Amino acid sequence: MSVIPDDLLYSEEHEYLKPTDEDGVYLVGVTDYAQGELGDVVFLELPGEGESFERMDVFGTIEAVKAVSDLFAPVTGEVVEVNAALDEDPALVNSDPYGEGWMVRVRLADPSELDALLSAEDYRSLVGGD
Amino acid sequence: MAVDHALARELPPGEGVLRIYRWQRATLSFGRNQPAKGRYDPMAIDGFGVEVVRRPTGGREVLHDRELTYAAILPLRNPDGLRGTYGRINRALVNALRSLGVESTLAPGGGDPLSPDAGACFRAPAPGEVVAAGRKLVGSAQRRIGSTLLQHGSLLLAPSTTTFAALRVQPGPEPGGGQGISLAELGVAPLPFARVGAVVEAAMAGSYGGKWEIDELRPREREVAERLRTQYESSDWTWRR
Repeated sequence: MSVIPDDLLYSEEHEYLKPTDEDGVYLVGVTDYAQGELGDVVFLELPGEGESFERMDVFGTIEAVKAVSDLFAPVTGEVVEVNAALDEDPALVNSDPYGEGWMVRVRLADPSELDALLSAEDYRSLVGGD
Repeated sequence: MAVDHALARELPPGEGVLRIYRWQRATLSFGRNQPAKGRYDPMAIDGFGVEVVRRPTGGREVLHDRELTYAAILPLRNPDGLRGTYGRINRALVNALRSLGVESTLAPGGGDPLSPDAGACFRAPAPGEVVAAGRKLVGSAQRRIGSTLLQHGSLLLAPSTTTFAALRVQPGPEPGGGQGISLAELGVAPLPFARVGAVVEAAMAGSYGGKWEIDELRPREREVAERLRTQYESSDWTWRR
């Protein structure tokens, strides 16, 4: 059974948005369900700080043993920090997807886009049948 | 690569594609994310008359020489999911090989995951890959493209005429290097390529069911493949890492 914390927002592409102490700034990563489906993560290609993305742009790729998947920006915004720890240890995405396995810290450009994301309950129904 | 990528981008709902092919010239393919710059020597590759390309799929380098390549393109939301599809295709390949008189199995799970810079694809089997006589016979890798899954695989028919070592910046055997095994090395008499292709196709059709037909690229797929060709022919893409 996948862990789906109640206080996060989710995209249908299995990314999450986690609020930070700074207003309008969120941590983005992939969900526990996604990491479980992918298997052992061996490589991540993430953007540089200062890069901006529109919602649903590909902002990076994740490779798990043999499978490469695109990472889709769940919201429009600017990358203000990249998790450098993943360079050394990409498996943090597997061991702690919502904690040390976060990927980028993003400053949201348009708060209204949050309305289009899924609540924990909605996301649970999306993956629940799988 | 461009055609496989285009088929994945343009896959109509409710359909899947199996494409079976071989390469006009021996070709070294790199995995989507594996480091190649400074490890492989473009001059040596050219000198041996080998082509080079970077795949959209993950995994490590493959020397496509005397082998069969397949590309399986399926909706991502199929009942098997990413990992299940890997298992289903590999089990179908084990059945295909059995009908050629070759006993193969799936490599057991466990062990450390192999990163994209862990050495050539056939050096060590990942869990669930097809092995015979303890060595890897089929290498495979996946890519999720939107809501579609592309899986590439390479079945070794006979030993390659070129070695990886000859193409590397620092020639020499790979550290810790096991290697793959081909049908010829397993004692299978040379078979027409079309016969091996037909056996693979029949096993996949048996596994997936449904209605199968031989088809040409559709105009839209051809157009997208032509656009993607620029990327796959670009040395910036091939030598990106």
